[in-house]
Amino acid sequence: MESTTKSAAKQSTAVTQSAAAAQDRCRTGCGTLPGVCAPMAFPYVPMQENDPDRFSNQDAMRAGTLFPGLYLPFHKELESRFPAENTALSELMALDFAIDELGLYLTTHPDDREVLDLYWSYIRLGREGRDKYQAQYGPLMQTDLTPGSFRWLDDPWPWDMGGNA
Amino acid sequence: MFVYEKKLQYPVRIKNPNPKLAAVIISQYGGPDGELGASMRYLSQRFSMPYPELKGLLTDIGTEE
Repeated sequence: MESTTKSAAKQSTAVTQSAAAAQDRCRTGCGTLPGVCAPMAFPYVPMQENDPDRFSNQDAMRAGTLFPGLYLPFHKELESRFPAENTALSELMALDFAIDELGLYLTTHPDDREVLDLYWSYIRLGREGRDKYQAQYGPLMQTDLTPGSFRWLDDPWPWDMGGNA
Repeated sequence: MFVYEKKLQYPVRIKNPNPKLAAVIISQYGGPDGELGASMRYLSQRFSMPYPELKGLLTDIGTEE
């Protein structure tokens, strides 16, 4: 009876020792690489909160994002090459860009009422802006009505010289 | 620039589901020799097209694909 207890105690010591050894292997140590049991990476997923800060529409188009929290200025020199502000087209592009950005945001934050209201107000603005632009410069879509004649094929196209400003 | 409309151009009604046939059809859509690749080729070629009618035509075909 006594010997059985002893051998059980021995076994339990052995288990404790091997567990300690494993734990030692898994320690992150003092500034060394993590042990074999450590995860390869610690993922960090930032969450965008409701109603986040926003750039102005023109600044957003220049920055490539509507949200300062997502702005990574990798291409600072490109900003200076952007087409001039305040043309009818650049206003419309900036507005449409903000609409695209808000649409993406709403896909992941569908319950943000404030941003939804802003999204809809921009869409309404965009419709008015589109009508004004077309009256002055011609169709944006092939289905736009151009009284008199079919003006869809008129130069310049967006990739032609002068078609982008 | 493209706009996605949440509707089909032509109705789809599947009477007899057939995964093998579906795989073949979907590869014609986004596979290596599919519509997607063809579409991008049309839309790229139009950038060097000098005639407005043909800029329009390449845009139409690329968009349709």
